[in-house]
Amino acid sequence: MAKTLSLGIATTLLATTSAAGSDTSDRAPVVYVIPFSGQMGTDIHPDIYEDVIKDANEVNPDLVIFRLDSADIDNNFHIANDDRREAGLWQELEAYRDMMMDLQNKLPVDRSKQIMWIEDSVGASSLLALSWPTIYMSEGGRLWGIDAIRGFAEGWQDPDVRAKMYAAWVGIATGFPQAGGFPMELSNAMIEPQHDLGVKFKGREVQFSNDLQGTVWTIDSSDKSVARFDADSAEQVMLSRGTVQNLDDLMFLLGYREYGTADSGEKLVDDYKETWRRTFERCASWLKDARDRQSGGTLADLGAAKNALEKVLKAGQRYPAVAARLRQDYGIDLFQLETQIEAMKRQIAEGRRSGRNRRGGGGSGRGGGGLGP
Amino acid sequence: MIIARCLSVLVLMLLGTFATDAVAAEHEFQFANGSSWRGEEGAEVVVVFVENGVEQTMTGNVVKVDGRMPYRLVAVRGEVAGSVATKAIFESDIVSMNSTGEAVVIVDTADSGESSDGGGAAGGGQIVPSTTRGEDGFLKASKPGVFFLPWEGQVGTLARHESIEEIAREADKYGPGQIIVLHINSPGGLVLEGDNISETLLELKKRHRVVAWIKKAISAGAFTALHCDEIYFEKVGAMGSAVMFAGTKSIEGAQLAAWVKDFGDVAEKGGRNRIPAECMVTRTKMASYDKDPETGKVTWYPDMRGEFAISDNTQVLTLNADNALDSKFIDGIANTEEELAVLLDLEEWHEITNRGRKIHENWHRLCERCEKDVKRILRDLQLRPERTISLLEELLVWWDRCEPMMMWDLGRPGGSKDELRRTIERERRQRARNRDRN
Repeated sequence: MAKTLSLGIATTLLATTSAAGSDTSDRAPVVYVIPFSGQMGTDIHPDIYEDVIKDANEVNPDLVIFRLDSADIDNNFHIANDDRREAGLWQELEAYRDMMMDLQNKLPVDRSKQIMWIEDSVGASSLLALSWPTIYMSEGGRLWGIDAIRGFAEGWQDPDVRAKMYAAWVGIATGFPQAGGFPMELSNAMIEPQHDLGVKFKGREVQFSNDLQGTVWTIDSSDKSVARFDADSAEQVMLSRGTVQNLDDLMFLLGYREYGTADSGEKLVDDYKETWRRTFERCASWLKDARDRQSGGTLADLGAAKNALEKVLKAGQRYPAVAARLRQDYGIDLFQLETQIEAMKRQIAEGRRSGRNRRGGGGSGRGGGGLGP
Repeated sequence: MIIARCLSVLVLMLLGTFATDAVAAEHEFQFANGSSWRGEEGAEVVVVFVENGVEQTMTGNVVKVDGRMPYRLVAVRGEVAGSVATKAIFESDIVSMNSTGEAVVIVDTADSGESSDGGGAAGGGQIVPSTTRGEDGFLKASKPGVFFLPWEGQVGTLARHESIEEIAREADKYGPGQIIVLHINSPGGLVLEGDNISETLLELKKRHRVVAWIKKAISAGAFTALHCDEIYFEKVGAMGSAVMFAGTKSIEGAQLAAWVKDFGDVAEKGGRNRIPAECMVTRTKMASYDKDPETGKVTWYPDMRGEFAISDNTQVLTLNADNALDSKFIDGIANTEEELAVLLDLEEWHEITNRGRKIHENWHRLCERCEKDVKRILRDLQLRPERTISLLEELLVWWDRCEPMMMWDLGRPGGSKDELRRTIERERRQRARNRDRN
């Protein structure tokens, strides 16, 4: 894949003359931006980030920036008009964890050169957000805690079993902020609604506490919801190191007045998103075709319906994101789909056989007739 | 020398090809690791295959190749596990097959055909460096290292005591005092298997240094980890949540008391305090601790009087990296193998053999295939009633190849082994009657 480098200048006023006559060691650092944007579990999926890791290793940048923009709930959340089909998928929590660890350990730069830039994060993506120690946020950006974990164990009636399942999921989810080096008090409040969150200061150091007594600021005092930060509050408690407007701004805060960007990672992710989403749209149309033709009742209709379903099956097998959305939006499991296709094949074969038999039967009947009187 | 060997191999292979040209029944196999074998019935072969997740090597003659791809059955007559027998092996269970005389490098240690002292990456086909044998009769690794076993998935089906026993056998070849690392990533599983694991690990610890490196050790996974001499976490690690339940109901009364005691005892056998371990099993227990700011000594309390709360009586305990390390319940945190090597006092990460990775890979691959294939068989049973007998026979074969999956994970599809046999018999009788009637 062709790599392109474009030079971004943080600010022309601050542009120095150091580039002139500089050798390679003076070159502007190359920044590799990895987008985490869209739906967790489909747009943000381990599959594509394996390719991104490979690509980043080829590019060998000086700095990696994760640009996170994945929110299950719109800014106008009181309207509740969000498309629930686009909310992050939780089933793959451990796959996200492994993906995060792969990114942290297999990229060509160590974690001190990996920056998390949160444009907006509400839902499962907040676990990713908290997995990196160096966080910057966009103006107006959100970093909301993760409400869904409490629901994972609610299906269990027995209180002890429910407690077990809950503890296990909380334990796994806590691994993300642990990887980011954040204190347990913060992760408790971001994951479990029953924990409050306040901060106190010891010199320049911020201490998070789940006990609001003695704290200076209260972040969350509700036992019904998890802690929520916006760019301002996150910066005030030093969870975020700064609030930025764009990449230039971020690079400036990081101390780089000049930098080059390698955009191949962004291209990879954008292409992937576009392709699976286009394929998924086609699936909707193929499924409709299949339904329409199946009701036709003839063998030709059945054949056409089968062909349409085969296309859906192939798409699901090719893109895990498509498979996930087929399951979520249409309740279609690939194996069941395969079974349905097998059954249709059999029905078609039987239909053809009986058609032939009828023709054959007619022939012999005629023959029989000839032999009669 | 090498060229001469290659030439002789080539000649042998060419001779083989010419010879087989004259014989009609030639067979060709392509194996999962990319290697292949081509030959005819009667050929003498060394075949490495997996049976119930255990890799075995057999030398003998191909008696017969039966069936259709990918379910061909290769019957080999020869020596296996010290006795002469005819063994029917599914082609998908074969790891490698070589005609004797082909380029098989026999290395002292690598009787399983895997790389030893090879630096650890999984995958076959590496150049095998020789390992020396010491005067004490044990194999000597070229440098200090570990025996690494990924131990992942449901305890009892995917993560089993048999795998631990197998890596132990490998370590035993190198004498006592080896480091065995279990990389645990398990959501828990069968209590029955917990007993086997306990027995295996307690025995193993008498000979070797057993280390748990935890990504996730939930329930029976935690029980396993507690046995180990040392416990390390990945930064994302989680350990605990070991409430035992049957169906949807948690155990209680004497059964619960016994399980709590077991957990505590095992923790103590591993050199750890029983108080936090017991909190992993029930909500009724509590744990907190004080830490001496100078010496760092930790004092545990079975209530909430300590400065640092670990578990109150409303929750079940799952430890994370921070509180596990701060309370000294674990020995360290390592995100990578290199970081673990430092904690283990090794100069670098070095895997003495890749046997553990192979054990894991082979068993998981087999289980995956079992799950997929059984689903397909169950579907075909509905769609193709005329094939009922052969499909049920296929299910029976899976019982032999992968019993834990059939028994626990897949919930005895088509019934137990015995029930399946009876169903097949019934079906046969029924068909015979139908034939007679017609």
